[in-house]
Amino acid sequence: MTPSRTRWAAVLAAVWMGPVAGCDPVAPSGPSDRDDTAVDSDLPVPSACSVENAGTLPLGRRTNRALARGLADLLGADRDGGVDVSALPAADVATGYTNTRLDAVGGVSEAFLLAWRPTIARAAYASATSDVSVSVSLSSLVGTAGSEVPSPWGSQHTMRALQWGEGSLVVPFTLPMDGTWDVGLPVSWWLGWEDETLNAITARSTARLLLDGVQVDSWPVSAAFDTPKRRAVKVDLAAGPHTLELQPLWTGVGLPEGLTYAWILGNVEAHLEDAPTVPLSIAGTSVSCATGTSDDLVACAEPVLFDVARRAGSLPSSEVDLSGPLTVLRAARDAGAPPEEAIALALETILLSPRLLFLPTPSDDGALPPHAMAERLADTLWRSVPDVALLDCADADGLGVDGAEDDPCTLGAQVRRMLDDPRSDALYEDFVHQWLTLEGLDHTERDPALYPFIQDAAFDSMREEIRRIVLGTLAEDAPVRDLLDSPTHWVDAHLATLYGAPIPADQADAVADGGWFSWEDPTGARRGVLTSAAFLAAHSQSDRTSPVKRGVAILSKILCSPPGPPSPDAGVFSPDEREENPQDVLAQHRSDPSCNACHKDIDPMGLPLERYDAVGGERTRYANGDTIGHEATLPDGTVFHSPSDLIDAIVTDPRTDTCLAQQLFTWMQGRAPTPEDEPLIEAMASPDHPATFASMIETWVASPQARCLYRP
Amino acid sequence: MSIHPSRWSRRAILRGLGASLALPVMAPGVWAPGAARAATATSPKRLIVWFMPNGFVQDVFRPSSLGVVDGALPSTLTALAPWSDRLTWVSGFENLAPNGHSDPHRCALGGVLTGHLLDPNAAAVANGISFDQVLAQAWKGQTRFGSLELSSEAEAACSLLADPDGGVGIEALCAYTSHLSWDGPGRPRPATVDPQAVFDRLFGAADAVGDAEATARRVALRGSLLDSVMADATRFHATLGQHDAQRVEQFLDTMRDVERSLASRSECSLAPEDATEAWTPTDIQQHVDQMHRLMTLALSCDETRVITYRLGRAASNRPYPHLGFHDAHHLVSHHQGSVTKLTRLKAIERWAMDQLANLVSSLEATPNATGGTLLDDTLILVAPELAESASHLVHDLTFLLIGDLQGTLRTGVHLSASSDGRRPHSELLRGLLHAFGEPDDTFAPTGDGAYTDMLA
Repeated sequence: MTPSRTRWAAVLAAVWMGPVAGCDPVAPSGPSDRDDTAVDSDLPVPSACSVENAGTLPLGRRTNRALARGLADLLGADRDGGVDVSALPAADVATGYTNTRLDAVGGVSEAFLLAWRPTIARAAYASATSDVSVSVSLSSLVGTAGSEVPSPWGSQHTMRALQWGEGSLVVPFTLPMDGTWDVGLPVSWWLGWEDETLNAITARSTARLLLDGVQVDSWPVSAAFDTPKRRAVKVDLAAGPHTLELQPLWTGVGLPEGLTYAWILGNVEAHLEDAPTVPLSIAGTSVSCATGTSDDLVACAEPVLFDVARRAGSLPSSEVDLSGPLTVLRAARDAGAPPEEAIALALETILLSPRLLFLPTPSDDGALPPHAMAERLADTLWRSVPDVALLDCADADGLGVDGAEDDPCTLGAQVRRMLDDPRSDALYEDFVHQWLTLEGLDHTERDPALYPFIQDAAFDSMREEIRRIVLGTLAEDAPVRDLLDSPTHWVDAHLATLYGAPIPADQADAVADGGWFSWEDPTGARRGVLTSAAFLAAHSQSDRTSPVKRGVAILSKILCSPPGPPSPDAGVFSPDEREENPQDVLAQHRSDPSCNACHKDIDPMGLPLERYDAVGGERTRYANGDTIGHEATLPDGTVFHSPSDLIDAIVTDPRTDTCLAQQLFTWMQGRAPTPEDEPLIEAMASPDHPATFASMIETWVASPQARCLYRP
Repeated sequence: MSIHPSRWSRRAILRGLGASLALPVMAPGVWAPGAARAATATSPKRLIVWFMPNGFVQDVFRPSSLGVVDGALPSTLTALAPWSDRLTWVSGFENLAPNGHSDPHRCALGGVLTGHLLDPNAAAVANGISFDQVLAQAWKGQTRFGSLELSSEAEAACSLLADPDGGVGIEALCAYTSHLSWDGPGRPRPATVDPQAVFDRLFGAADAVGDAEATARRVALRGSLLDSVMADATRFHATLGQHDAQRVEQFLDTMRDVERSLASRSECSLAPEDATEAWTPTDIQQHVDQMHRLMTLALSCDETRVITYRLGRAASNRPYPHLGFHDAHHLVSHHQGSVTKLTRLKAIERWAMDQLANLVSSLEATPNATGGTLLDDTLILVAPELAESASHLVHDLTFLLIGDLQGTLRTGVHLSASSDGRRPHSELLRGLLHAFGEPDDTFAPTGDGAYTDMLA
């Protein structure tokens, strides 16, 4: 995906073709003050935005998804679920897309903060770790006392049975370095069946833990079941071999002959607590820190913390202030916290700042300053925070539309870089998911009597197919319109059953292991995302399809021609397919002129997809035995005979390209388009050549709508 | 004697685990309410708002005649029969929130506790303070949490609320379909759906991350950490324009409130079954049950005195498969005379009220500080989204009041506020503020004065 310089120039020309209300470009003063290497110098490139009538959208907070992705990026965690934000209250949705710049949700409620605080604390704590630990699984031990018996606690614990007097359990382990170590293991024991004799015995019995032959812990035992609890000691140890020994100390009277007892044990684990030099992982960066004084640790951790703070707030380097977080770090260290815990607290201090939570609106100029532009680009294209490279460009006063051919910091160069970055999967994760309203997959329960084979995993497969299709389109820089009629489907074992797709013999093993293969419907009917199980299932009810839902979704999101609001007495469409033919019910509905006013447009968009059931599987009959017809007639007399006819009509409809651009614009801009936005949307739709995600995004990024103050 | 691990049932092990927890074990009823406050001579008043999406089938929800109610309860309320002398129906009200908008689902929920007129197609969310928050603010500082907002169904994307099958269109704003409780204009209070999160907030350790030592250090360092955050927030605040700055001030205020509530831990001793409960329900029945238990716990421990709960969001389309059918709630609410659908709708409504009866029962089983029960102190306001479910109208609404609120409310009676069903329901809310001893006749921009016929 490397659009040419010529196209970038054409983009600029297209979007600056006229003033856009609220952020009018200043009339170009001519090319004389720019150097020869600049983009085509006769283009009317603006130098500033007028603030007249600009207005602002109120400050909003990042969406939950952007917070999850941003935190994961900042902390070096897996972007897909690495930071759990499920406790946060959902952000409200308007204009069809999650939008937190609206008044109701820009504020932060008590419920949000109550969930946000532990979310941050857990994420920070998990992201600062000491890399040094030793673990010895007791199940691997041989040659020590006792024999292994099955543990009722599952695989996490081992159970070893011993006879009285058989001796103790000795576990050897080796430490890689000198330092203060936390050594221990989860342990409890079982003394057979509860009876009074045993209770009397155990009341006078003690368990002991010995490290290198020296007792370091002892505790009374009980006959009751107990979860293994970690018994541990913190002690300075040298690198090399050591032993941990578990020993019973009996003070009881005569013991029953042949009595067996058992230890219930977890792994022996040794964690390096402190050392003159500690290897640490901080926010995904591995460092080796001297820890002699808190200043030593600060010196080591500060560069990483600096980047986190800079990126969390999209700050100029000169404005990053770590004094507070470092005060916390020192105080934690002084209170005895291990290095990684002290650093985690400093990270938490940084991340709890409102700078991460909010997307402020610059107030001093019509044009976004470079750092605000960086924040906006990252929030839009990645649904995340800027990376260091983007902020370096902002620090260098870059991110303008103007620049030398080899300048990596022009807006165009950075946008191209960002779209090539894996983080641009936000286009699927956030945009396409909402564009195709796939949220329905998360909220519609299926009647298990009707769809017994549909489990949660099948819905995951449905989403994954769309993700693969979208990321493929993005990677190949293919026209976005292809999403609607590409014959290629992505299929795993779940979808193979659903689609009736034969699994290629040479991929059978891989598919059985969760692998995917590409598949084309030989009938040509199942083409594009509208015939994917995800779209079809998301626009169905729990026990039947809904041609009305499917039709309204296509009209609203694919053709941008939503039907009017239902009249108050519109009634409902709720046929029982076991008793009625839904097509007859709809036909009856259309016989009422007031219903027909909308349903003449809605129904033909949904009825051809009746071939596919409520989870996207192919079918030929309704439950009442009627054959499913696919014929539907548009008001202009066009007749669809199959899903294919519908798809053909959609991709050749002149509204489709413009609508795609309008949907993407709404998502990126955070508001519905106004008439003043039409030139930009038309430019994004790119009538001369099929628009790609990259071309539409680049067109938007160069526009005043993207580069100037947000407008209401 | 030998070991037979295979005979160790999970039940036996769990029993063993429970016994090993170092929790005070007391007989039911002894542990509540919050022992530390038990010396209080009087018991406070408390509010639970219980919101029912899609309304009720009226002829099986409210008595057919006005006045003193005797004889059998309407069939939806059968499970409340033990408390029939503690029920009050007040009908004849209109929720003006939709303000002429054709689809009441878009606004009725948002206005049911605020009495405001709402526009789901406006550029920005408006609305005003809700009835429950008037009380929460009046009682601020008396409990750790001013109020709790709970729900058994998450907020939804607009696109999900739009249900063309059910005649629900697409609007610009969705805030009025999810939020019952409002701090003020543009400031909804989102409800928490996860029972574990509610439990943790009430009784968990706010700073529990890592082991006990790490947690102790976090608690000790919290002040220092927050000082730093606040200092940075203040610097951030200084860079913002006026509107944005107000938002950040709200953030800082909320942050301080949250810190105040988290600075102290609950003094309540929980019964073992509550302390060890897995607050992770697997179905709606269990979810509602756990929410009701948490409400009882929160009130009995005096962690809050104001709770709003909604069974579902506006136009909730949840199916209730455990009732033996898979129909979505909103779709059956438009039964259009279908006997099957009407039967199913009534079954959903009756099931909901059966659950509510469990809450009433547990409140009654929980002693208050003055020798009575929590039910004596509490008003449960059953607030419907609509009047008659099928007609989807918001006039002639019937509110069900459960409990006499320490003798301040008449009970066992069906009252009508108007003959045409058009009395603004904000007048009822004002009247209830009188019952709570916090009269505020400036509350809400609709209606005129307070409706007080239900006051004793």
